[in-house]
Parts: sequence; structure tokens; C-alpha cells
Amino acid sequence: MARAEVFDHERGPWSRFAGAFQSRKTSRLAWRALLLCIGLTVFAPLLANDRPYFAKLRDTAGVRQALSLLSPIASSFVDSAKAAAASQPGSQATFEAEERALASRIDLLQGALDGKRSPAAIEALAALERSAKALGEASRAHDAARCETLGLELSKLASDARPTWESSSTSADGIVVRRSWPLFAALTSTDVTLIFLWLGLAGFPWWTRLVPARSIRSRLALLLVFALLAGLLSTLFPRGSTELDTSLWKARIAADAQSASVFPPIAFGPSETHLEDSMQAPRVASRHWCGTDALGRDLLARLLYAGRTSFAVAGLAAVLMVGIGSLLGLAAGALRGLTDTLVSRAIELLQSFPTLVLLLGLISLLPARAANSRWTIPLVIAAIGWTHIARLARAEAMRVHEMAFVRAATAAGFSRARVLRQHVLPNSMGPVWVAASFVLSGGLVLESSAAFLGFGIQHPAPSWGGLLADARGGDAWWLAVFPGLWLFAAILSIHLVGEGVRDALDPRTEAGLP
Amino acid sequence: MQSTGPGSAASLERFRHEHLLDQPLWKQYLDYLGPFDLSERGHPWFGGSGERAWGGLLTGDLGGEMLQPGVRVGAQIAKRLRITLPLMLVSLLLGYLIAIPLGVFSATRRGQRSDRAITLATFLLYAMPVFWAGVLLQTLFGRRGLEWLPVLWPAGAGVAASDILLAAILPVLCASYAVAAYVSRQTRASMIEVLESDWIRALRARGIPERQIVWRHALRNAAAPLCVHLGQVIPVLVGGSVLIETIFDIPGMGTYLHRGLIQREYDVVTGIVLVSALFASVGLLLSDLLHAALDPRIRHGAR
Repeated sequence: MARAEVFDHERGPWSRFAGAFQSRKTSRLAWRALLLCIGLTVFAPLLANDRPYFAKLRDTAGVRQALSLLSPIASSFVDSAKAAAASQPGSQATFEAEERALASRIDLLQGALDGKRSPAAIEALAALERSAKALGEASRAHDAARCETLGLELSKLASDARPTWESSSTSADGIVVRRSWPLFAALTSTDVTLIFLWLGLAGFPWWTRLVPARSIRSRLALLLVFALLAGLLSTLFPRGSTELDTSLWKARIAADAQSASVFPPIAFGPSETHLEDSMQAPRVASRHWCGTDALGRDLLARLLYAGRTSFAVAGLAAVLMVGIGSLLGLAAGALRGLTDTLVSRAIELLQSFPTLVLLLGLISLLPARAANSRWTIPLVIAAIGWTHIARLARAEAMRVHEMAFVRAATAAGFSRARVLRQHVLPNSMGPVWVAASFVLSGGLVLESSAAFLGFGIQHPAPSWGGLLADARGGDAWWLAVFPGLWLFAAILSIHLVGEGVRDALDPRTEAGLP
Repeated sequence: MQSTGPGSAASLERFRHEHLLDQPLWKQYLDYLGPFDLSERGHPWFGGSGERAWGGLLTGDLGGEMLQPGVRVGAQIAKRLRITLPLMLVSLLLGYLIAIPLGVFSATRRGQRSDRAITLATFLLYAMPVFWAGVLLQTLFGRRGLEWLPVLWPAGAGVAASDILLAAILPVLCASYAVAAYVSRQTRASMIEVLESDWIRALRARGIPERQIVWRHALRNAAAPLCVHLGQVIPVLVGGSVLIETIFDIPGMGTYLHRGLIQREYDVVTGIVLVSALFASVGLLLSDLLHAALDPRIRHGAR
């Protein structure tokens, strides 16, 4: 009861509900388990990634490749400059593009090479830059003869750049050591928003006391705004990589003996394949704690990322189902007449089909690109699954609409819209909230079932159902056990949270009383 | 693209034309619905040659497969239902046979340790996704596991009946556990409600043996709501059969749907969606009839 008192001073229906929910031990536990399940997937990029948190390394391979590409880029620049000098039609645009390409390449190399350690290479680059500038001016002045001589000089300088760099005794040291935070640079603003949202939800009882806000609802709104703001702010930080090399981080770190890096606990990306490690059983000693699949991908990393897909689809579907279902149900129950007839017949029609079969049939009608989208699959699930909520909302709205206080509100002269919005709606949402959690788990199961059969979100983005499909045939127990176990835990905790919500809203249980 | 032969633009065009894929959607729908066949060889009223004048859903024709011209979807579904239907019925029966005694047992020992264990177990089983259970069973009994039972349906013709029976054990188990968990929870709830009512106390006061009260008087009254749940169990069972048949490679209606979805055989998908909706509706009707048979208040329209 001590916990309930924290919320009691607020006296709103939300805080009463929160207190009643928290007073049950099972509900508290289930809520924490659900938060953990969601949290692990929200933090997936920080827990499992093929990029290190922090890396200190020199881009040897990148510099080598850039230097060797310098000569071909320079020669095509020379060609286009000559063509532009001769005023050939259409040559001007090519010339300008080639000029920019060469200049940016030289810029990158000047940034990557250490001026103190390899002065010869820097000097060669500077000469190259001067020569390129001179050639550009000559070409703009349409001086074909000068272009010819300058072009020869530029080509020679470009082809000499790499030998110059390699002949200096400390060539490998001549590259600037860069400190970078590759993992954080790769976080998207959606990731940041989700992480802040989760932190806010998980730490709700703690931070909420520090904020002088009126009600739980306004605090939730505050949390949402704050998380969205954090996501927005994160776009201001430099995104992507400014490095020359775009190959895998691990290969780059392995190539540089003097690099230093800190990897996440699971140092594998969800699609990182190691064919030599395929179908390994889980061992604590090995780095694959949950084993690997047929392509040698780390199962635990895939599981973490799969949860994002599954929860995203199920969550969006649940929101849509509750929205559509409660609106249509309320309209049918309160307005009656034609609306009621239409909605009720639609409910009966949809409920006469087996859900999974209808879902699969509808997905098969979608064009291939839409069928693989995180936005259309929830829509399809919601279009089938709203009926359950709608039935509950309709029955409750019908009951509430006949009650004395609604009639009193109508008699007091309130408009129809106001009566519906402020009197009928808030008082008939109880059963809908209880059903909402079961709708979430239903969405999770539907999405996983479809993914298990190979429909819905496709590879390489994994989902729990899709991962389980790999286990068919029963040859690798870890492929069967772990994805299912996680899905099971998620469903179970959602069910228990749902039961907690039901008991907290039930006026018959003592906890529900103010 | 080649100019002649399979896969050429001309043959592609012909294929589209034969299957009305170049026609507007409403025309394709009317062709599917029947009773007139609207294709080139269709009814003379609609510009066809009259070779196959009638067709479509209203004549009982579910269409044909596009990739295998001779194969009719209706006949295929009928053939495959001979595997799916017995499996579903056996699973349903088994589920109810396990669930009702379990629910009654649990209700009569309400609050005791055995009741709590059963409630927890059915709660866990109810939350367990059917495809996970299937894959787990397959792993447990498969060739890397105990090797007690076949985990895939025997392929080919002329398979011995005993092999089929053995291969059916795991799928039936997989389909029935969810039914059993759901129904036993409902049985327990409705039995508890009945056992708390006044007339049960009156029976006890009259000295009627407890066993007779539970099994004859209480169960009959608790059974009526269970029939309503039959209508909800059957669609779930039909949906689950798609998953189970795919896992265990059973050549039934579910795998046919799966193949139809992958090959985009629209007639197959539509046909199976229709047939399964028919099953669900029959299930609902059956549950209403049973409810009426068991509960005279429904039969006589009590208010």
C-alpha cells in the first residue's frame, strides 16, 4: 500500500488506476518484464553492433586506395579539360564535375595525411592542387596549347603521388590517427527518440516527482515531447562517416595494428555473416552466446534486432486497432441507426473469417514493395483485428448512453458532440483499455505467424517469427528455443499486464477503489 | 525478350488474356463469381465461343490453377481436406476431452495447490504460440533429438496407414494443446460460477453425493457457455492448421494455401479463404445449435 500512496495525492482517475495497478505484485513484475523485453530491443544498437563504441585508428587501406585512384581521376580530368578548352558541345558540365571530384579527393587526402610525418606526400598533393587549378584556368581561357602541357604535368604528378608517399620511410605512420564514435554516429534519430521514451517510461516513478506537473497525463505528454526533442536534436550532430573507407569496421580495425577500439558486448551486427562459423551451438566460451544460423550470423544479435521489427509492427497495429475499433464501436453504440447496422455487419463479416487465413490472403494481394513495409503490415493487421475492440466499445457505449448522467447532460442542452466526447467516450473506455493489451499480444502473434510462413517483413530485417522459420526440421535446438522463448516471454508479460489492468479497473476489487 | 516460345512477350500476352488478367477488376470478379464464363471460350452472350459457357463460384467452381492448367482448385481442396479435416476433428475432440475433466478437477479444488498448478500450466500453454510449440516438438523428437516419432509427413503414394498414424501424433498434439488450454480455463471459470450458486448449495444440503453434484448437475449447467467457445475455437484451429501443416509438411489445405500464396495463385488463395470461412461459419452455427440443445432457456426464448 505504501506504493499506492505515492500516487494518491494526485487524485485523478489515472493516478488511482496507477496505484491500483502497482499494488499487485504480479502486475508490477509483469510490467517490469515487459519493459525489459522492450528495452532490450530498444537498446539493440547499443548492445549488439559490428561498429565499436569508440575507435582510434588510421585509415591505411582508405589512403592507399585513394592514392591509387588519384591517377585515373586526374587523367579523366585532363581529358575533360582539353575537351572543354576545344569548346566541344556538352563538355563544360563534365569538366566541372571532374574538377570537383579531383579537388574533393585531394582535400580528403590532405586531411587524412599527417603533415609532420609525411611532408613529401603533402607537398606532392599541394603541387597537384596548384597544377589542377592552373589547368582549370587554362581550360576556361580556351588555351588548348597550354592545356596540353599542363595536362602532361598533372598526369605525372598524380601518378607520382603514391610512390612519393610509400617511399617516405614512415609511410604507415604518416596517416592521421582519428578518434571516432562510429556506433553513436550511426544511431538514427528514431533510435534516440525510442531510447529516451523507454528511459522515461522505465524511470517514470523517479523523475516524475521532480517535475511540478499536474497530472500523469501531462507528464506522459511531457515525456513524449522530450523524447521527440532529443531525437530532433540528435540530427544536429554529425551523421555518417567522413572516412574514405566504407568497408566493415572490424576489417578496418584488424588491418591496423595500432588501433584501439571498444566494442559492444555482442560485437556482431544483425546481418553480419561469417560462413566459417555457421550452425554453431551456443557456448559461453565462444562469442556467440546463442549460437549462429546457417549463414554464421549471431543469433543473439538477430534476436535483439528482430524484437524491434516485431514490437514495432505489433505496437503500431495495436494502436490502430484500438483507435479504429473504439471509434467505430462508440459511433455504433451511441448513434445506433444506420451506423450501427453498417459497423455490426462489418464486424460479423470480418469475424467469420479465420484471422490468419484472411491476413495471409490480404498480404498476397499487396504489391511486393508494400508487403514488406513496416507501415502496411500493421495496417492490414489492424484492418482485420479491430472488430474485437469495436464489439466491446459498442456494447459499453450502448450501456453508458442509456445511463442517467448522459440523459442529464443531453437535457442540460449540451451539444450531441460534447455529450459523446465528454460523457460517453471517457466512461466507456474501460473494457477497451483491458482489451488493448490483449490486442497487442494478438498483433505480436499474428505478425510472427505471418513472418514464420514467410510473409510480412522480409529478410534481412529479422523478426521473431522469421527467425523461428529457420528452425523448421528440428536440426538446431538453439534456433528453435531462443526466438520462441523471447516471443513467449513478451506475450506472457503482456497478458499479465493486461490482467493487472483489468483488475485495476474493476470496481469490484478493493484496489480499484479510490 | 524472345519473340516466340515460352516467356516471350506474345505468349505472356496470351497468358494474360486467357486468365482475364488484362481485363478490369470488376470483370475478373464477375468471371470468378459466375455463373457465366467471361473468357474467350466462355458464354456466347459475352463474346465467347461457348466452349465453356458456365463457370465460376455460383456453379460450384472455385477456378483453376494458372501454372497447371488442368488442375481445378475445388477438387484439390476436396482432396486435401481428407487429410486436414480428420486432423482438425481429432485435435478438437482430444482438446475437449483433456480440457473438460481438467477444468472440472481444477474448479472443484479451487485455491488448492493442484488447482494453482493447473491454472498456471494452462495459462502458460495458452500464451504459447502454436508455431513455436510445433518447432519445439519437432526439435525434441527429430533426428537430433529423441528420434521417437517421425517429424515430417511420409511423402509419396502407398504409405502404410500405421506410418501416417505415427506421423499424425505430433501435429495433433500441437493443434490440441491450445484448444485444451483455452477450453479448460473457460471450463474452470464457468464451473466455479455454477458451483457457487445457491441451487448447488441446496443440492448439497439435500445430501446428494458431491461427485453427482459436480458431474451431473454442475457440469451440465457449465457446459452451455462452453458451446459458445466452440465457435471461437474453430477459426483459430483453421488458422493454426496452416502453421502446423507447414511445419510438419502435411499435404493438406494449409500447405496448399501456403503454396498458393507463394506462387500467387489467386484462385487457390481465394478458394481456401472461402472454404475456411465456411468452416468457421459452420462452427458458429453448430455452437449455437448445441447451446440451444443444452440450454432450454435459449430454446424457448426466455426473457
